[in-house]
Amino acid sequence: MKSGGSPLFSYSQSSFFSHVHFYTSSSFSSITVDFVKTFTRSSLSIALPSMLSSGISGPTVEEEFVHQAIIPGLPDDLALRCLAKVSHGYHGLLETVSKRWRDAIHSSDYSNLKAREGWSGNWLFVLTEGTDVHWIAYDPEADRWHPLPKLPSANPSWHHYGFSCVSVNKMFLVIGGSYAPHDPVFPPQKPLVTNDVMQFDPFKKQWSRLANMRTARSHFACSVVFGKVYVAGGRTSSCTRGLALSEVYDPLNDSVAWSHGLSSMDEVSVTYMLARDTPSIIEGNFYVTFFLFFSCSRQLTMNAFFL
Amino acid sequence: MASSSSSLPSPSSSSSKKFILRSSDGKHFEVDEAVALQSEMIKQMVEDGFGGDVIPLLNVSSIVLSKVIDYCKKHVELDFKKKMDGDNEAHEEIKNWDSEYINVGVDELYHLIMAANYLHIKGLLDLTCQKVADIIKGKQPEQIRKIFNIENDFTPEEEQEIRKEHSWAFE
Repeated sequence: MKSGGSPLFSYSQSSFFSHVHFYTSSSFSSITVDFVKTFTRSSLSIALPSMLSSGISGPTVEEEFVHQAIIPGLPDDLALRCLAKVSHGYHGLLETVSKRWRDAIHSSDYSNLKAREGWSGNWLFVLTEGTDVHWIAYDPEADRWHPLPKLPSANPSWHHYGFSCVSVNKMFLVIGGSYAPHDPVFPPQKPLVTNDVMQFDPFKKQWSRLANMRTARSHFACSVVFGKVYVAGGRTSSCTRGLALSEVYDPLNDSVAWSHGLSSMDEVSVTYMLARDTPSIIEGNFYVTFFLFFSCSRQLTMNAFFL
Repeated sequence: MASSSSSLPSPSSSSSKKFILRSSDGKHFEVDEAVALQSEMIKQMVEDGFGGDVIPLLNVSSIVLSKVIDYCKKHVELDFKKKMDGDNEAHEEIKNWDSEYINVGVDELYHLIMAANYLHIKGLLDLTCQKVADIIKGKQPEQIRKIFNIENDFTPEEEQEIRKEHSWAFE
């Protein structure tokens, strides 16, 4: 199942998922993971529009609306509830129905309702590379791919590799990695190793920036253990032989940012060298296995992760 | 089933407490307690000490209420069966019954959604909203507008622009 050191693929996985299917082909590698059921984030301040409203509105009520109803004959909060049950692969079609529908799908009421109910749907994330670098997503329910908004990055057209992806609290995180220009430039430029941590919110369908890691790193091990994100090892541009540092991030407490991870050998067996393999979680301990990474020559890399 | 020695209350037990529900058009419906308590709203009223004989449901007409009661009765019966016979068979039966039950026109669907929301019947609200979503899925915008009587307020230029932006959705 593992890519066994193939330099073509990088991937990561979380311990929290119950099923992991791994596909490889000549063009991509991916991991599909059943969605975590628990949802603890960003739902606290949300009112319950559909449960608070009553069905007092009869079929004539739309005449009283100052704006066009989302679905004539239904109160807007209930119409929104219906639209919130349509998975993301169909949203392109919904947005072309009317301005009202387009605005409804982009509204905070819509994303808040989906977040509160935990209706994220299943997502397979893939980073395409080559001439056009962007993240795309697959919706298995609609059997459809669609592009994600551009990842806000200093070097949008550069090749992004060596990063890790995890899914935690129904959010998808893209952590660290290296940026390098696609085409060889002269004079040759060193890849830029980043400590950026980007989060994709499947309810708002937006990227946002989380607290940076303390250390920029690329080709490192990464996993979620008990709801916290651990990163270990990897390399930087100045320390290509490998980092012996680990860090931990609690997604429920972004303000605390990243802190130095556990260094006890009992808990994190971080030694040194490049962590290119998936860390394993055994009885709650985070084990990082290592092997050397020899080849950097890749033509096309796709990194994928199921939220 | 009725002869079972189990301590579980039989849904058809004649000894169970009855509730009378009054629709907006003044019709009375007598139902078993278990059926009425499928509604979180009625359950809350009862817990809050509602002492009247008749529960007035001002927002639900008799036609809709009778359909809602069908749902609640069937689900009480199937929940009971699930406890007696095990999950799998009953689960399949609930699924089949629900899909048959919800096979109605959009106007009736809207009334069921509003009634399920007013009465706080989570299962029925999920079922009805999911049905609307299922009608939408896989349809082209023109079909969706027709089914739901939605005005296309895009100018031809705007429509062309947004279709271009979402060209992946039309492939």
